[in-house]
Amino acid sequence: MTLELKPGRPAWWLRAAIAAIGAAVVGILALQGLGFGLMIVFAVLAAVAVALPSSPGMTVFIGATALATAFLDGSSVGVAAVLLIPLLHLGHVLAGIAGVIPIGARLHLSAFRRPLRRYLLVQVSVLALVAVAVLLPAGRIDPIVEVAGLLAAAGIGLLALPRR
Amino acid sequence: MSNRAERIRQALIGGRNQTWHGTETLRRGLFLGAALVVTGVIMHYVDLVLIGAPLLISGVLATLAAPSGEPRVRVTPPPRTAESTDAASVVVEIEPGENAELLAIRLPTAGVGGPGPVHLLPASVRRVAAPLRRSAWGEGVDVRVDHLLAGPDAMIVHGPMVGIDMSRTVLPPLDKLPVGPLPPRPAGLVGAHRSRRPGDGVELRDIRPFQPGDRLRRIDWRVSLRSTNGELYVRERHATADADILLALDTRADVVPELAEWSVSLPGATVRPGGSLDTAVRAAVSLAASYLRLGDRVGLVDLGRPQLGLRPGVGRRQLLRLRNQIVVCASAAGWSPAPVLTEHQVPQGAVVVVLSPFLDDAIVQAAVHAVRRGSRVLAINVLPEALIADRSDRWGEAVRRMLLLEHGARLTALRDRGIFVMSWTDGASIAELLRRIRR
Repeated sequence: MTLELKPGRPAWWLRAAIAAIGAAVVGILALQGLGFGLMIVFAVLAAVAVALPSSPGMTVFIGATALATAFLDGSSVGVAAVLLIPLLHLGHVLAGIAGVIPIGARLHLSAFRRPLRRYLLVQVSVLALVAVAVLLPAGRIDPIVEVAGLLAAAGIGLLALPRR
Repeated sequence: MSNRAERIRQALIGGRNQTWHGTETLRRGLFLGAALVVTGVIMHYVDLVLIGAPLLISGVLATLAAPSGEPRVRVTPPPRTAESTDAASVVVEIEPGENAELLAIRLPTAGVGGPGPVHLLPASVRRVAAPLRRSAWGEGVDVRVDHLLAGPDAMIVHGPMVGIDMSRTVLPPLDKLPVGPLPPRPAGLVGAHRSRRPGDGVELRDIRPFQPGDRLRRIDWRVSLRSTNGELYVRERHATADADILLALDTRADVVPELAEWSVSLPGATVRPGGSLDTAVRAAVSLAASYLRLGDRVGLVDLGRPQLGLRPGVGRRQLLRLRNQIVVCASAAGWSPAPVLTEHQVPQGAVVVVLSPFLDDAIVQAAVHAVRRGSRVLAINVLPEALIADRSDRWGEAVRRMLLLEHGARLTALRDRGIFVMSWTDGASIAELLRRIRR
């Protein structure tokens, strides 16, 4: 079947979505009590991620946000973290896609169907993890369980390493 | 294998763009996800684990479902020559390989010039048809199918691959003109124009006494019976003749109404839409089409580059040749300081139609020399009617007035030397002028 090409939507929408995510993340961090100076740093990182989505800007932004929320929130799972998880993941996915197309590209919404489905699947599994984390008792965990957890994470990491 | 040898090998096989490879986003996502999870577990921060987990899972899924196979993109090339009204399209067939999810492909789009923007499509698309529509005439690259295929979340990609430029020539558009009779060419005996010579045409020339050699069917019996001298009389008719038209196109200047734009080049285009060269070309092809339809012989002279001229000829093939040649002339326009119109370029008895904005004296001299050699010359002025002064320059208005005065003086000089001058406003006015200059 032949697809008759339509004009599509401008790729600016993709960057606008990344910008909106960046603004939302900075807003959440501000509500958590992030200082003004650090907010400027986060805003700059978000701007870099919008302007150069294929650059390490988004990775640094996600990492810095994770560290900031962890130190602001403490060891428990807060509402801010629950909000940040889907936002940062979405930012990562959108930056990945925006990084392989030029800024003047045209988007066809049907292209996002499968990435969106996978995103929702990952988020459901992560939210299940959140539920487990909320239900689990806080406090010190047996060192053996911790070591087992670390080994499991290392195993996943080994599996995930690129083969080429 | 050494690094150097590996680099040479990669260059020969086309580099890593020819194979499926992970992007930096994939590597960074995996690294950050694993680092956050491990750090969260060690430092007892659940937030870090939960933020890192989606990145890690996405990266793992992308790696496990990595695309494979050799993607192929086949383009059915559009016709090399087209009319501006043609609704052609380019068809691209895609074999994306296994597990490919996204296709970024450069395709022409309505309203966007050139090869068009990159479109992000699902890789499940196997065949895409993109419209090819270019309103401006001339030669240009309309298709270049650059493409990239990507796996899940665009983390593993194949490409980007640069496509081959496919250029098309859009022929100048034809406006239908009401064509008037032209001065006849003495050597011709066929055609649509009345000759002064007697022949087998339709129009009555004279009634004269019968002579040996006259055809019997030409005898005018009514006049012969009424005559008192008893002689037979015959009806003599005019011969019909074809005519030679030589379109002399001044490609040395291309000006628009805004004087400030005269020295500014237009990026990506050789001819300014609505400029003097555009008008001259449209006028030339319209005149050529009308007269070729009548069976006349039409030729072309590029006053800027004489070697690009076209000898007079007849028929539809000549019209096609002429339109293509005008595109060639326009693409090489604007380098010659003086116009060239020698006697070798103008056939005996031809009508020379000079299409120019008449911005220098050299073009006037060339036209006058053609008249002195015995050619009938018609000057069509294609300078935009209302020139707009450069407002950023305080001498802008003075420059505009000076230009108009000089231009007017040139047109007067042409008229004084027996050259018919007319501005190109519409075809009917030109046909009317040609009717007036008929002998």
